[in-house]
Amino acid sequence: MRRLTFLAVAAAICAATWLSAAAAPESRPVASDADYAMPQSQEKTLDITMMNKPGLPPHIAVPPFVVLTADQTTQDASRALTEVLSADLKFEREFDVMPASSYVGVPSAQTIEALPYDRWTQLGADFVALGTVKAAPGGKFEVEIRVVSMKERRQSYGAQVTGSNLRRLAHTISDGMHKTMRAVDGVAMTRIAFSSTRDGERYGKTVEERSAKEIYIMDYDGANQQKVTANHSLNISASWCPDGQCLAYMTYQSGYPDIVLQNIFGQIGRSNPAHGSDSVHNYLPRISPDGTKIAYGSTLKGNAMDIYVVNRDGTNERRLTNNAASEGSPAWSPSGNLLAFTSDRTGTNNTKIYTMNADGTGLKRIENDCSHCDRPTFAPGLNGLLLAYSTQTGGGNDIEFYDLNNGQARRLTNGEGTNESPSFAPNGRHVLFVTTRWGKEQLAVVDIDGKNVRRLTELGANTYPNWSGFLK
Amino acid sequence: MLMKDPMMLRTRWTSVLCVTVLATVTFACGGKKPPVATPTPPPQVVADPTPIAPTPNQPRPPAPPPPQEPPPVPLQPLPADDITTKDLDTLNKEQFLKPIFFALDSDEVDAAGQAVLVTNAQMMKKYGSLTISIEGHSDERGTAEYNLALGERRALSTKNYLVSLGIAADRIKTVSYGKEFPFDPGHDEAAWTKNRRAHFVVTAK
Repeated sequence: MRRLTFLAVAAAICAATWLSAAAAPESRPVASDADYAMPQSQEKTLDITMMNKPGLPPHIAVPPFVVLTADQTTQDASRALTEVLSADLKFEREFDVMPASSYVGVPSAQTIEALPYDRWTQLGADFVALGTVKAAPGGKFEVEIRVVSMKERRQSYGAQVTGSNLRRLAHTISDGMHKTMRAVDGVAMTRIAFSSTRDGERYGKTVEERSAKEIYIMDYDGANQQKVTANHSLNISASWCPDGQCLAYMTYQSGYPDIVLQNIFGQIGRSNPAHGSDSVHNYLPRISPDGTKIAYGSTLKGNAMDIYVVNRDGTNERRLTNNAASEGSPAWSPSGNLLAFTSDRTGTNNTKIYTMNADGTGLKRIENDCSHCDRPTFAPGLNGLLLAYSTQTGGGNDIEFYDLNNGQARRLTNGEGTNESPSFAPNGRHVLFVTTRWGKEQLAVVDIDGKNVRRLTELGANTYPNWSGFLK
Repeated sequence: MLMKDPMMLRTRWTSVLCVTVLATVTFACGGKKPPVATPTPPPQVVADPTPIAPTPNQPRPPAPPPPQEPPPVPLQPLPADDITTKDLDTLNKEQFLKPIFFALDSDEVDAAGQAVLVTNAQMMKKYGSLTISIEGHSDERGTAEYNLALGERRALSTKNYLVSLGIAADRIKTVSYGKEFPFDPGHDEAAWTKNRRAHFVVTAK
């Protein structure tokens, strides 16, 4: 519960910037996602260490981790730790990481007492991260960090971590620093699932040249891109289990689109919870926030696609829409109480976004003016009152936010190629999406204020991204 | 059987030639079989040797859902039809059954599409053991998820039209590939027009 409150507060503050930019002329009744208490206060309530310039991210220096075992691997480890931690800290924009060139010649220190405080203060540092690394048995490293306040001359954050995966060690430190010093849930340990053509595999046995797509996963920053499927068909629209141990995705492995639930680490486990067949086609799965159910589109009854929910073990399949139109792209609200989805039931060859309760009652159309709206996705926290989706703009698509509370829409992308398939970071501060701004479809992350576009993929065409929840 | 079919009288082959054809291809109706086809092995037994084209003597198949003018029955000869001598890949490479095309965002089988489907239905009646998969495709505009649903609808409306022409539904599978497999990789209207299609794959003959 404490974690949820953190998240809600952090996400609210983060979203407040752009939400407050838009006037709120009227409030309209909307479906509400009642599990979350709307934060009453916009203030950060944690004990935030003081800084030189209130309101702005503190300046922090992350000098190279001091090498305690003088061998090449430890030196390489130091370089990796310093680099990854600095990048992690820059990602959330909660720390202003000082360029190494700005503190050349400042002597390194292993202890708090040995720090040249006056030099650092002169250079404008609010904090200095003192890291050490030494080799440990089994190819592991022991890493310590002390983040010291220049003003208070005491430690603001400290951690000891041991392991062989240096990136993960740095990510753990970064998440700890964000939590302790900035009251922000960092996403450095999270992962991203997506589909890629990078292997150049041919799809199936068709006589035409067709590219297979396999599911891949990677770290939040694009590192460690790993293949999950290898069946030479179309594997798309992956959705993370909340614990990050499994994925639901669509596969055409049997010749028709069906949903597979698959463990991706450790024990092999694979099931077809929606029971597809030549005539029952299942699309676009999304696992519920509690991990117990899967929402998806299906042609099970009737010709047009409807929204269904099935338990993770394949039981209790229920149809939530019953309509001659096509319903698709279901998405769960943060509490699991609501589903957003698309429908072309207005009959204009155009899809609009609707919400309904998770039992199919309480249908509402989102009164925005988006065209060919698709892939609605709820922002984490915020009472389930903020949606992102793609909308047709000119020749392509752009990502848009919509505030269900006041009916205000706001563009996140603005015609830089076509942009679609948004997926929120679990802390609600960033959006992952597909863009063609660099040519072929690639994955990018942008902060919710539209700044800091970062490219995550290079190889092949990469689509259908999905950001995991918080992982350990 | 052949002589009962008035279509035969309208073909450009003489009755002499017809006898030759009759000797070799017992069920070829209205085909433009080359006259030198003597070594052609007799075709496999075909389960459904019903007449191919609707004729003035026969009732038309049930009308398709949209209340449109029935398409003109194409009078052009049927394509070369020695499917027994070709493997599935070759048949599909040659597009034995022709694709049909759709307007933007539409799953409606238009007049041109209906005419093609009449021909495709004729071939499926002629070769009654033939089973097919209809793939629904879209152009690259619109989102990936939306186009999966659009492709599903295109494949289904195509299937439904064939069924309305008398083809058994269990001979037809459908699948949607959305915008995943464009026929033409271009990024202009010329390419998009080719990519908004229902594509036919013969899965067994």
